[in-house]
Amino acid sequence: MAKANVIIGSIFFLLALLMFAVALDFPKPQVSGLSPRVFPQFVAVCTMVFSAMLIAKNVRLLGADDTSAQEKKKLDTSFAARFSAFSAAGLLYVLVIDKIGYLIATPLLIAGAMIIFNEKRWYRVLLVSVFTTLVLYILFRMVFRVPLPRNPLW
Amino acid sequence: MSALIQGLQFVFTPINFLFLFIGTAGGIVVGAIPGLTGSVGIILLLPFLFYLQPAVALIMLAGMFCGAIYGGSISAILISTPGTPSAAATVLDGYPLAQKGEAGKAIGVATIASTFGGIISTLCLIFIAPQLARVALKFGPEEYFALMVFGLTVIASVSGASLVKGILSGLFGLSIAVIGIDPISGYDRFSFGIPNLMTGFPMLPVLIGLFAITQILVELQKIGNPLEIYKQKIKGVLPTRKELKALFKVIIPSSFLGTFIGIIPGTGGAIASFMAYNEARRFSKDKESFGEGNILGIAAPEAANNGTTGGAMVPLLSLGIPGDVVTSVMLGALMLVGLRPGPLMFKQNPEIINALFVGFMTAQFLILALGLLSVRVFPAILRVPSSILFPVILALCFLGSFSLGNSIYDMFVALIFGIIGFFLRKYGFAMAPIILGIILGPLAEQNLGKALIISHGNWGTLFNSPIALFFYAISLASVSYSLMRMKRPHKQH
Repeated sequence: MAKANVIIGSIFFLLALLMFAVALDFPKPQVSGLSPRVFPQFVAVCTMVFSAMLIAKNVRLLGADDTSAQEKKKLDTSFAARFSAFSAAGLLYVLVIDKIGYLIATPLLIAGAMIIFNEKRWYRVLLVSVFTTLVLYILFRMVFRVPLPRNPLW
Repeated sequence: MSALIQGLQFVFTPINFLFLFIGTAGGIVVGAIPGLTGSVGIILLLPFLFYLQPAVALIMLAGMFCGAIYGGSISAILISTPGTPSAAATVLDGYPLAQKGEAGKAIGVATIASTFGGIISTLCLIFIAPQLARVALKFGPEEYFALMVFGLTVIASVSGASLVKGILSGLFGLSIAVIGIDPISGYDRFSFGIPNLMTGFPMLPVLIGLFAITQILVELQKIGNPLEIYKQKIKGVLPTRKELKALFKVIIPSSFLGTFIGIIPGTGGAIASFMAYNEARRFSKDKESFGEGNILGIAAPEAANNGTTGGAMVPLLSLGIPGDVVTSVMLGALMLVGLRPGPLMFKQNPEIINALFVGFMTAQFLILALGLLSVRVFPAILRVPSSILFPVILALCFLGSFSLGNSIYDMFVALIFGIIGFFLRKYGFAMAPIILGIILGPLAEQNLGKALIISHGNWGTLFNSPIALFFYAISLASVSYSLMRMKRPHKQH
């Protein structure tokens, strides 16, 4: 956990530093009122302070941190594979839905997610993915009139 | 009286009542399923709420909120896994009673206690919130800024195990909130010329990502840890008259305790239910039976956690600051459907407030009816496999993100925030402070800007008002209390 805390703390610190630097280009404070740079810089400084605290607290534990090996075990390869597959499926869905349409992309997404969630019965995968897609389509497209992405061929 | 009639007429219009019913029943189901909390339920409901009148959306949300808090007790009793954190104390006596073959009675007691806890807290909400709102109507930007500072200190209370991480989560929320056009000066901040970023991150996909998609990923990690299944037959739901008499001696004080705890921002149902359980045990003549299936040990936490529902709505409705995690999400949800909770809502939309009060009360009776009538269905709800439930929720998350702006970019935002949220949560960063930062940050900045414009740039104006000073003082007290609470376990250890 200590290693992860140091990494996350460092990311927060660097992002806050970037935020502070970018805000330097915003208009300077006026005589009255609030400049657009004040609030972001305040947030950035606070983030730097607290992320430095998180880093300092955990750097000391780094040497004695024997949990990293256990953590690595916890985040076992099977979950890493599932997580990657899940993220890829989500990303692919977002990228292709406009091209192949909601009615084709969504059952594929649900079926993929069910398989990632360890569903082994193919008839269940088929039924749930098609049925859910149709119910959501009827609800959002026909009742709420949301213009869901359509396949360009139809 | 006319306000009550107006509220009754609204809620009991068949279509409005149907939405309240769906909200409450949906809340019970969501609360009962471990892994889905009231916050996730509210977020999953959001895509549907845009197509409803704000008042209907509000009563549906109220039903979802109350139903979810009650629903958490079902899995706590049947499979020893609290559906929501508020039901953790219910496990202590609910599960042993279910193991003795009296799951029906345990759920019956939880239902009755939850209903009465909810009724008492709704009555307190009806009497306290308008009075507090009347005071808050006199607030200027200085007082509002101080109030938002106080609201932001709630971050300390909902931080989880680490205060530093909680504050960093809140600051992450504030950082997200400053992206886009500054509402005061109109200056474009941190968009780097990307048109989608000029309006900032859309709130609905961010909420869906941080709460719902993150939760799906958390559940993905649990594959291989199957939940226990309750196999016994459920019978004998209602307690005897003698038992009821004893129950009410615990239900009434626990309900008031829960309501009081709920009003204090940053507390919530989990604290209230454990406090009520301890008090019930302390005053009991039969202390030894607690933990072995004593019905008073079920009634006390259930009355208290449902008592917090009305209590938590008091600061939300009258001041516009959330009392706990669920009301933080609810505040975001209300803003998305075009409602801005706060004192002005009482002045400008009294009909919505009346509808909410009646809807909140009606939801309690719906909980009673649904809880007692569908007690035999509950084990079936818990048997829905995660391999069906979460992929369906995922599809709903994407569709919900898309539906508000008809934008595929919004789906992408939900996915990215889901992944970020998962990693943050995995390493102990709470989600609620992020939402508080996103919602309260811009309000704090706007009121600070207004106060400085009015005072011609005099920062001292922030400390001139006694009300503002009061809020700064309770902000300090709130943070100090959180610090003390976090240090205590270390001392014990």
